[in-house]
Amino acid sequence: MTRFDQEWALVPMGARWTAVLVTLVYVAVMAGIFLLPAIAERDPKALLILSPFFLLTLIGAVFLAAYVLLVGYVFGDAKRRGMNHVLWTLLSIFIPNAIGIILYFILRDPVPVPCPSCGTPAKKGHAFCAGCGTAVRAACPACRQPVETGWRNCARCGASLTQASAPATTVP
Amino acid sequence: MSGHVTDLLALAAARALDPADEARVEAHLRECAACASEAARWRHLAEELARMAAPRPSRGLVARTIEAVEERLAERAERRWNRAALGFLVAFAWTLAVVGWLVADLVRGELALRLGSSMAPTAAWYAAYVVTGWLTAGAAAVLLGRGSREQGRTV
Repeated sequence: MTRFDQEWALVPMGARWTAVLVTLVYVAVMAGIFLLPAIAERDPKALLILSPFFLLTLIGAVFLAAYVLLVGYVFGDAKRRGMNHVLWTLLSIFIPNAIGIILYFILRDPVPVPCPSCGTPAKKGHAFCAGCGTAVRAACPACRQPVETGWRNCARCGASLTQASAPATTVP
Repeated sequence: MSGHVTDLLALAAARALDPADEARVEAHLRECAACASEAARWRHLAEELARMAAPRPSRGLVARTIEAVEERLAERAERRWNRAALGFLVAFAWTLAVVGWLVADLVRGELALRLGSSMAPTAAWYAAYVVTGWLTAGAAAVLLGRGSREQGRTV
């Protein structure tokens, strides 16, 4: 399974069907604007002239479908990362020109690590599982906050991490 | 005597020199008693170190190191993926702006023709829409960025 497949799986089925539906509605509206009057008037010349314009507007259908799928991806991915997925979905929809989606990609949280003991997702800022209390990341022996690889001192309380016992907790 | 090779003696004792430097050091040692004496001390140290048992890291240290390396690699892969996705999205956003304008202008022209009314040119409206979008996004970025400043970012 490629990375793209993994990410694609996050797009909810509802969003996929919405993309299909929205695309069909868009095509119908464009056909109604560009082709229907010429068909109703039985004017083949006008139909011939307007058909390229109609086809040109169909480029918009591709972008519309992609937009809906991206919004669906934001919904699924924000949910997976434990973020406010409803808020981010709304921002993705209402901030125009996909800028809301770009913002989401810049500001999204890292993917939570599943607890090795109970599987509860643990966010990056958590050193212990919120479900069962198991250590999921290295933590400062003094303040019990998560520490990063390469730290010689805890960045939160200043305790030394270079002693033999530190970091106090690691994944079992 | 000039041209001492003091800096290379430790590497010579560890047999870590390239052949050219090794030949230069050996030639110098034949002529320089001071360097030869220091080279002998380095060789002795290297032999003693070689005799010592290689330290065996504890299982915990190995596990922690593997865990840290895996975490670092995963973070790097995630960052790479995010950058590629962002590049795609920026290109998508700009293309969308252009395509949106094109479609809006076509629809406006056709509707104006059908309805026989003069509609305002879309370019000005569309430019205002795009600028408003970017300003809204900027404000949202500032507000949202405040909350996540303390947390790790993936970009």
